Amino acid sequence: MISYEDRTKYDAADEVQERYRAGFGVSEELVREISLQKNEPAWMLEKRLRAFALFLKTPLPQWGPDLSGLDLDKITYFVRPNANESTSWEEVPENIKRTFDRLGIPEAERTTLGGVGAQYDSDVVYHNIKEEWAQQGVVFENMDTAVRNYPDLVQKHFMTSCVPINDHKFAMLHAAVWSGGTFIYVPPGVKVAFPLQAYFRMNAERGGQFEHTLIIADKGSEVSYIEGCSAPRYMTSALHAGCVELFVGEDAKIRYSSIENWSLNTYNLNTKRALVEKNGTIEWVNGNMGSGTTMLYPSSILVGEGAHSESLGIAVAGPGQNQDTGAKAIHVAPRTSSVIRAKSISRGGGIASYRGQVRVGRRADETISHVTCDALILDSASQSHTYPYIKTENTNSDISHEARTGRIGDDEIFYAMSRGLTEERAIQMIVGGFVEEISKKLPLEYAVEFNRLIDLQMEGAVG
Amino acid sequence: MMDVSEIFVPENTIKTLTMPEDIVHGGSYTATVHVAKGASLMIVETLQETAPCAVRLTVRLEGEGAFVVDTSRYQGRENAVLDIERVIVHVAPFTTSRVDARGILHDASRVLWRGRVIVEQGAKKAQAFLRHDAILTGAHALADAAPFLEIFTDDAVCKHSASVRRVEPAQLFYMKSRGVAEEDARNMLLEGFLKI
Repeated sequence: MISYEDRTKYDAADEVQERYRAGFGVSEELVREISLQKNEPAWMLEKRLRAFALFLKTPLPQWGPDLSGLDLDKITYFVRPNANESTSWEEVPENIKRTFDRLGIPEAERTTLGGVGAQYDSDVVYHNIKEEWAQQGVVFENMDTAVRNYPDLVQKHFMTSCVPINDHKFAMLHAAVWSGGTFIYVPPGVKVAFPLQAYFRMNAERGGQFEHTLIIADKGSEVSYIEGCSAPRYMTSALHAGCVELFVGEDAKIRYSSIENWSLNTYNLNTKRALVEKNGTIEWVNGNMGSGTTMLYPSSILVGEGAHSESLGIAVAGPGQNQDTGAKAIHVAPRTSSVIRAKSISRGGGIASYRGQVRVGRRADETISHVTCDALILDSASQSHTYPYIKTENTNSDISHEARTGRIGDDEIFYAMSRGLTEERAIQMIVGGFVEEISKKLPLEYAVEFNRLIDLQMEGAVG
Repeated sequence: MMDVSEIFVPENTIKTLTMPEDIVHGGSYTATVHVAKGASLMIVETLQETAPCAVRLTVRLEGEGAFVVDTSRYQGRENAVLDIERVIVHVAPFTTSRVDARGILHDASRVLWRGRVIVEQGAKKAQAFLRHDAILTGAHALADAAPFLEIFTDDAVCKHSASVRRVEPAQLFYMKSRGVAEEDARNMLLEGFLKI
């Protein structure tokens, strides 16, 4: 069992030498500066500037959790740590390495994960991919490098058809100041057996992290990608506005897993979306444990006949947290299907909300969609909300939604305690069973870390 | 014309509200019903619309043990737009609510269904069940449903379910195999769907 103090290991800030640090706030000069420092092609700068102009004109969203505490002028939008990208672990500077060591990253690498890309503030400092995959043409790159090395692929897919730059205010901001992230391309027919992984960590005070993940799975390919996120704790609020774009080609399959554990002062306003072609499959596994306010709704747009989406999410809202998460499935083509399973735990005054949408277009004949939400409320100060939206225009489809909210039954706790467990251990065990469906889908080291995080979250849940 | 009314169900009484007859005749109405301690409210709503209509009903379970059963059946035809809203507020402990809404949308009719169950912090041991099911038969029909649950206490059991379905091909096949013409079979199944 881990003591409560352990949570601070994710919240501790390191003193890292920064190579470049922008001032507070975002401006056109800053956008140009980022693009210049990254030596980007003209089309990317033009895209950034267009997005920035739109950002200035767009108001904050008026729905969902309160964002009034977020001061966009008090955030550093671009910080580069003092290290160039390395391909071997030894070259990474000592103090950056120490941070990752504490989070257990190199172990994960050693245990045959396909490759590692870790994002420390705004630049990817470490990147590796098994040679075997590289020979088959699998590209696993830092997004900045990909812009220069794979201009055709990137220009075609980067914030165009999946998440356009004018999607919403934080997508606009992201497009203007994005930095780092991961680019994966899997050629037709290649099946990547081990999951690829990256770890993001936000360190600079009032730092923003705007990483961009772009995964293209070509016809008949398969890839699994894992992302872990953690940010150290600071007094002033930080913002994470990342963007994930997944292109699932014909008969292809992507599994995207992410465990997000930002520090409590972070606003996690993330955009994740997948475009799924004919007979393609997208699997989302999402765990949200950290951050003060989260707004995250991974979406699947099923544009090809027979496309399938599976979404599994868990949100844990502790004291002071507002987890507004959910999933979206947009059925455009016939015979598409989607399954959404959402679970949430709220305790200590936390608010957990499921906000989801299922849309079925007129052409989407014989669509099947099922949504299940389960919520656990552990004490009377906490809240749990469910906001499912269903919009259908098709006469030949089957859409259903069910949700249940409740607390752990006294008889369940009594039973476990009669077998010799303490009340706290009994609750931990029941909660462990509640989230098992998610941890089962994760690779072992992640499942261990995930379970540990859940246990940490549950500490002090009694009395 | 919109009619607004307040209805009170006094302590330990049972009231049946048949809608729209009991409130106002015609398309649209807004009403708030206050249910006192130990009182029961039965709502039976039947809507057959061919024109736009708006129904907004709020039920407040204000007394301990207050109880509401709300059964709603609607059918939209032609260009009807049905704007239906149900808000159930659990204020007091030991309150129970059951909302069961079903509808069929023919032709180019549309429904905008909003359900909200709010369980306030004081509503210990509340039980709530909210369900909405719809079937689309019209080629240009649309169903937009959003059943919300907002729970501010841990000591409550709340469920909701929503579905938009088709006439099950397997059921249709069964009926046809027993010699019922497809059109008749379809009508029988739709009729069954609306049975209370």
